[in-house]
Amino acid sequence: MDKLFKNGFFPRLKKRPAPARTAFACWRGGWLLPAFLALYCLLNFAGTLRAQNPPAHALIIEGIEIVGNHKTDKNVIFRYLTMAPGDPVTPELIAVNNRRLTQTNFFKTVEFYTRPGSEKGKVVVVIEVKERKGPFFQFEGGHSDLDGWYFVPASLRFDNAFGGGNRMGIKFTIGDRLNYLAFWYHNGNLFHQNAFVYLHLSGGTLEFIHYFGNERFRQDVDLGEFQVKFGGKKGLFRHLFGAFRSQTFDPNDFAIGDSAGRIDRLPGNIAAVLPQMQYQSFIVGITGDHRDNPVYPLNGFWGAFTVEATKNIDNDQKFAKVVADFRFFKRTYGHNVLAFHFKGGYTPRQAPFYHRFYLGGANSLRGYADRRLTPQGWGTKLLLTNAEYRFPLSKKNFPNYKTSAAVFFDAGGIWLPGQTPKLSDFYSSIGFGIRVRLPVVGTTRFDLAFPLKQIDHENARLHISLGHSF
Amino acid sequence: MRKLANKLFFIIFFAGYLPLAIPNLPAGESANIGVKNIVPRLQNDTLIVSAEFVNIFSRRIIGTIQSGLPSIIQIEIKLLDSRGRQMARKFISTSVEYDIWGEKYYIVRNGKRKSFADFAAVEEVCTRLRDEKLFFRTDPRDENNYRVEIRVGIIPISSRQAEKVTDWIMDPNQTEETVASDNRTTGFELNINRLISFFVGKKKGSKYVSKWTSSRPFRWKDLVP
Repeated sequence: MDKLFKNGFFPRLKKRPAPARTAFACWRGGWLLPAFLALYCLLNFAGTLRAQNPPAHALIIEGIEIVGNHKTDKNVIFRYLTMAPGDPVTPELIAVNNRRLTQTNFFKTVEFYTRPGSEKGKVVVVIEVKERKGPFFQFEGGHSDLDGWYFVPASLRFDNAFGGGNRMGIKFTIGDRLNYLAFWYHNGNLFHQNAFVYLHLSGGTLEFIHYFGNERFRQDVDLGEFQVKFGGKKGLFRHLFGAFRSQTFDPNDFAIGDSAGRIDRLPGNIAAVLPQMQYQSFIVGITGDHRDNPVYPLNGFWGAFTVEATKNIDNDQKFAKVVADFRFFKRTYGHNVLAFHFKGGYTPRQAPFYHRFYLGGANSLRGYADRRLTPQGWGTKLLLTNAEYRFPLSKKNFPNYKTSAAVFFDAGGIWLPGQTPKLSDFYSSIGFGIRVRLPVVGTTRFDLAFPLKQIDHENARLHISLGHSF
Repeated sequence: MRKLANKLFFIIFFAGYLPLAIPNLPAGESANIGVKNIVPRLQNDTLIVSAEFVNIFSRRIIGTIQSGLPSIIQIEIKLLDSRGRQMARKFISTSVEYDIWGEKYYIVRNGKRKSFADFAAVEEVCTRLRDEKLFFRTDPRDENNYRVEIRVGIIPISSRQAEKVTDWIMDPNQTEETVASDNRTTGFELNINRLISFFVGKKKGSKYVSKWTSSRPFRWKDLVP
């Protein structure tokens, strides 16, 4: 307060008149500050009033009614809504919720209406659904490192068949390197929606690639698999899952080369597991997803760590497998993002080739053909890193950019049992790519990569795949 | 195993397509929207059109408007020549709103806002198309036959998003693995039933969009000024 007096903020209370110039300055400052304070208080008061009373035209949801749900439990529908009684309602909010319910595929039609509530400004939202009576037919496709491109021309979905919001389906998948039939079931409502269970039963043939020298060979492996997986959905448990898996592998005892014909005597580490064998595995894992959005993450972290304990039922051999996969995203400028991926895996020599690791390909180490860097008999130790600098090429529709691009650097190594990883064993590549959002399939990736350690005299390789590399 | 898989593939394939062959039942809480009494006229060499619309405001639409959320009426007008070629086309979009605190209805068209005290007055305005300019006649000696086609639709609060199939196709359900695996997979899913029923449903019309309704064929000289 003394300071205020000294600086002349309250000139009328001053006892001694100041020199003329100073007095003028004091007079000017003396009026401005109270005026400013008064204005500040007035605005604050107005702000308080605004905070206490909703805007004049805000409509508040009094209740939500659901019509037309003969088999579907109301809670299943509420689970997908982002609005509740007491929330303000806007046409945009209703459009978003309509879209969420429509995308469940549980209903043939979803329509939202409103009617006046019990008092002015209150609204009752009416959701009218027309349930799907039969199954629906789905076309699927995708790309994976092991299976290459695949399509599911015949996929029957029985989602919400019993009205509980469960999903299940049966599908026949054909692709570059696979051909199988699968039944699956997902129930996300266990223990009051705190946990989920996923069942998967499949049978078919997978094609495994081996490089013997520079020649590529393909070996068919028949596979029957049953898997049941449990996991949490809320709190800390949402990061945990456990699974039991039973698999029967029956590899062909020969492999067919791209140009070298058929090999009937396969190398020892492959030949050792040629008889049909059954494996049972227990798997536990920790996952975490703290990305700000999954489509084009600007900041955040995604990680998964899994441990498998597997027993060969036919010869009682046991082995473990550990896989760690971490991804980091850091926004640098605008929507430019520095993205980093690390993957490491280990399994002992007892693991057959179809439980081991591979290296090379569009989602692995770019610049090399799919699995080109995989040693004969497949690897038991794997290290892979990918670093990307991503930037959008179009301005609109974040995070679903129509086009974006990336420059990248990949490095990785893979080793057989008994080999000690050395820095000189690593392969690396640099490159650039664009990602284009196409109808139906979504983000499609075109990466041109230049290997820094050449194999097969290839200077560059173009990879085409779906989604971002990680 | 492979033979069994192939057999099952065909079973699934046909079982999957069978439901697609079953036609959609007509939707229907209320009578469908319609257009009637299309009257083309000529005024100072300009073709003007009037028409009436029926069943635009169902009970649900009225409830939605009266609860304070807007609905949008869209009118589409075409002028076709005798060979079906389109000579002119016009879209008119009108928003119907209700201010629940001021207890007034508003019709907003071309940025102009007009208020009404009761819904009957709103209905009177919205169910009639009055003297809408469509086409400027350049050749008075033209003896060709023409006809005007009109359809009208109403968009309740939410359906605008639901029916944007382009958004849906451009934004597919792209799937990605959720845990670390040896086999990183990215894929997409497309609901074929939904795609087919969207296009089939459009041809049939719906309770929110009328069918195209045509005026009687006319020549310029037949039109009443």
